[in-house]
Amino acid sequence: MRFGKLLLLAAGLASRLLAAGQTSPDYTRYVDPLIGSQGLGRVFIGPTAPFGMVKPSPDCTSSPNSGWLPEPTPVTGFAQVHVSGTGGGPKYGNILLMPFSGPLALGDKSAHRQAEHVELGYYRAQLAKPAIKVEITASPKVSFYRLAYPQGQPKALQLDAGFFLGEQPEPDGREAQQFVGSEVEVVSPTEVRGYSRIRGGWNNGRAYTVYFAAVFDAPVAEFATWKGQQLQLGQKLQADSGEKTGALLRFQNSAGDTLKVKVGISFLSAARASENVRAEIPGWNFAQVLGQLRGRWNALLSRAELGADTPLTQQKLFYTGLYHTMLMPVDRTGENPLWNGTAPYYDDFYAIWDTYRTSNPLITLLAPQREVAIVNALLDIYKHDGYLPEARSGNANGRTQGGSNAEVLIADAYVKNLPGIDYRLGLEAMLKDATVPPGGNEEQEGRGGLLAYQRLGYVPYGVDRAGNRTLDYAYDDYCIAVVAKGLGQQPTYEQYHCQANNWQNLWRTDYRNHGATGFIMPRDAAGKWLDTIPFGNSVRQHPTFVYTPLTRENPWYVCHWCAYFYEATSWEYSLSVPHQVPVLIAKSGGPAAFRARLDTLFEKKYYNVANEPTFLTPNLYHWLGRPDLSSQRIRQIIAQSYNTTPTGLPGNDDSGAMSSWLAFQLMGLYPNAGQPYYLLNAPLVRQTTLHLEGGKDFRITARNLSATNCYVKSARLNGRPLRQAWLTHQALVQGGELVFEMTAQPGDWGTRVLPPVAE
Amino acid sequence: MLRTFLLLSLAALGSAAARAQDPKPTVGVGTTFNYMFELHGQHAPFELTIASATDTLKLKWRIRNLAGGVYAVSPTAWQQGTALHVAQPLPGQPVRLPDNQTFMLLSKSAYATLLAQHHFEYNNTVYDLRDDTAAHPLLLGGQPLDVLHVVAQGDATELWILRNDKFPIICQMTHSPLGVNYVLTNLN
Repeated sequence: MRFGKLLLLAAGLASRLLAAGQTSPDYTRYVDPLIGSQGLGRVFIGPTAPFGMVKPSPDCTSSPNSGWLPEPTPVTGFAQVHVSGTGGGPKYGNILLMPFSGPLALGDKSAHRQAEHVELGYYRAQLAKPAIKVEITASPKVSFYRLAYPQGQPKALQLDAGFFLGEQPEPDGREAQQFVGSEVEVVSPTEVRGYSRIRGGWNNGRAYTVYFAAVFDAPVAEFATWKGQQLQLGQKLQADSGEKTGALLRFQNSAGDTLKVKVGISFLSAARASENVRAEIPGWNFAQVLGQLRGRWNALLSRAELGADTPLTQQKLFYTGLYHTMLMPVDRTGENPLWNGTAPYYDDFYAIWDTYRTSNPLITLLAPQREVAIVNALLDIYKHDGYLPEARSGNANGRTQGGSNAEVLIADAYVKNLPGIDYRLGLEAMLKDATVPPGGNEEQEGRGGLLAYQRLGYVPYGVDRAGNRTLDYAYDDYCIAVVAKGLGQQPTYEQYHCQANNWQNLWRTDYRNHGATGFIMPRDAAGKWLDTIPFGNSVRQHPTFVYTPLTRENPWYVCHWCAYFYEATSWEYSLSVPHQVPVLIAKSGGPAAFRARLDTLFEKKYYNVANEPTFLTPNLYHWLGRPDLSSQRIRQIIAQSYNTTPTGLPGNDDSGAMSSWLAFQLMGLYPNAGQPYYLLNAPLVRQTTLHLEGGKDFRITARNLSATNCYVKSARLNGRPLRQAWLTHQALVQGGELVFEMTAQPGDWGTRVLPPVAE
Repeated sequence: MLRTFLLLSLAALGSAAARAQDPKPTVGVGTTFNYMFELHGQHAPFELTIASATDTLKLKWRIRNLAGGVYAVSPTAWQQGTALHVAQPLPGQPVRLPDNQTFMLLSKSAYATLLAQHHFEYNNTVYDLRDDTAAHPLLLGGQPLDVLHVVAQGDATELWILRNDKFPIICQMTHSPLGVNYVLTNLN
């Protein structure tokens, strides 16, 4: 036992050294994958590579979106594919592996866990009965398990190709995954292959197939395979006949009590999955694979270096935030089952409505080539599937939540001069969204209510999510205008520049609520404002409800997806006009009224930290010349809603959205996605050095920062005074140093030169 | 993608059904009715408790242990109300319903009419009694509950109303054209 512990320590040390390399500090130690794993956060807790295709994790029943739940829920098994931070119906949870030590018999093999331990790239738990130790690490496409069985006990393993998350008893349940087919085959004494084919789930997508090849470091001594409820001893193949299949394996006793298993996955074939195992993990050195995985992460995390004196809590929040941001979308280049080609292929955009504001801009800042690949993957999907994804999972577009927000990613890449993207194709794809109705597939892609939007300049009440669709489309149109102008497409620019004003068509100028004036409010196709709205479809009774800017009409009056604003109220969404904040201020009654409105929003808790439409809102004080108030709100939000515990994220992390918002704010930067600048806030950390792709560094220093010195007195960019509370992306990527002088009282920094007015 | 009401497993229904239940339960102050609501495709547990029943009937409600409130059904409404309150419950301060509205139960007079005439009118809808609960009982804890099954004219709504003169609680609502349906899962 003692020797075993020493071995583990040595392996851990070796992996840390590998992660750290010769000179780079090890930032992986600051990542705590459990932050945000409980409560609303729902992050994935298992080991995975950056944007990794395989995501092994405990599955504790088939209910949780990430697979994992804490004790006392037992672990059902360990599936190879998961998503992170999601709401709605679960997706994936395929190819369930479960070690056991009994006879080869069908039945539930769930077990409680003891001493569960999670760190970046590594998972460990001791199953309570039988006492099997499970360790997991991974490469991009292969899960690597090390299973230590009790001495002298049979080493057995269950591979279940029929398991998946979110199974519902009723057929075709909305957002429920549905079983389509599966297959297993014992192809050799050391390899089992097969697949799981599932449809549906959160995005109601078409069927996807996860192929697998499980390879063992010891030969199988005895096996049985099953189909449905029939178990067949020694039957090598269970061919797909639309039933659930799996294999029970007992391994030969060997000198040690450990069994190692590599589970490669593929979306093309089981043979390809086997090839992925050979290509990525040819040997059996668990510590080496763990070290390589940590090395991959450290190479990314080290691009943002916090000062050495940064408190541990802030280091954990920051680096875990970066980590969460780079879990998805998933790089499946070379694994596209739908078409051939050399373009990058990414899946699990979950959803761009959630990620465009901060997740993608953070990837652009730290790993711009990755963002280029992501945008090119979107364009390739457009070329073959016909529409850019708003969301995509299991190789299928869907679900739209608001706008066609891939437009923002393309515009953001364009204004930040990301090379290697065919922006003319980008403009074509954006215009497809903006001009061609998706023909009944509005939940899947494109713009729902498009014809009415084109005719009226807004989406009328009665179309699902009409309020936020109008706001989102207006911003998407702004993004189209930006790219069109840059490409010299003047008529297109002029049209969409004009359409970017469309949000104003739903602005009810004289409407007052809790002291604020002007709101985005429901309006029918005839132009009439709707204060009371009928609900239901009774022929005998005709009830109505009163609509106010605080109304959430779902789920009582309408379905979750049918509300006027998706997951928000008018108080929140009326401020979601990232391209025309000065107009918004004027329409709200001027700076004083707008300041009061923002104060009311925060003080009366109408602000929802747990959802993305309000991400920019605390920064709106910048446009009033009061960046100190922005920073004050941001500090309050972080103090109240973020921490390093398992419930330390305020809402669904949504593919790193919540986490990337936090990471930006800790540095003192906040992007306005689709526009070429960052708003500057009082940093929460004393120093951040961004080691940019291309070799340049940009350092942000907050001198004299303390608990009381939390306001920016002055700033200098590369030694010259910077009086504005914003900085262009181009200035940042040229490298240099931004130094804030911090003070206890707000000064006049940032009060005169306001953030840029959008084109 | 936060959801106000998360999709829930129906396992809760199964666990409640495992307990034996008196077909004619005693109902009074302190009785709590546990429901599973189905709201436009989403499921949420809902709890209704008779908080007081002097002149005014006070009904405490709680949904998913997240939010709750109180409805006050006036003596007039409790006695001779003609409509169910169908608006979304608002958490917080007690809500006094208008003199013609009850919440999740019939007025005593509507119930009496149902017994006497085998139909009654509520929310501008006539409901007809169906004599089918023996063949298709509403089960609670595996036991048939003593309820009256009514079906709407014009709409597809079906109600199962507790046979109780004083508290004719609606134990199940299905096919509501307003999209709000529910079923009693426990009573204590």
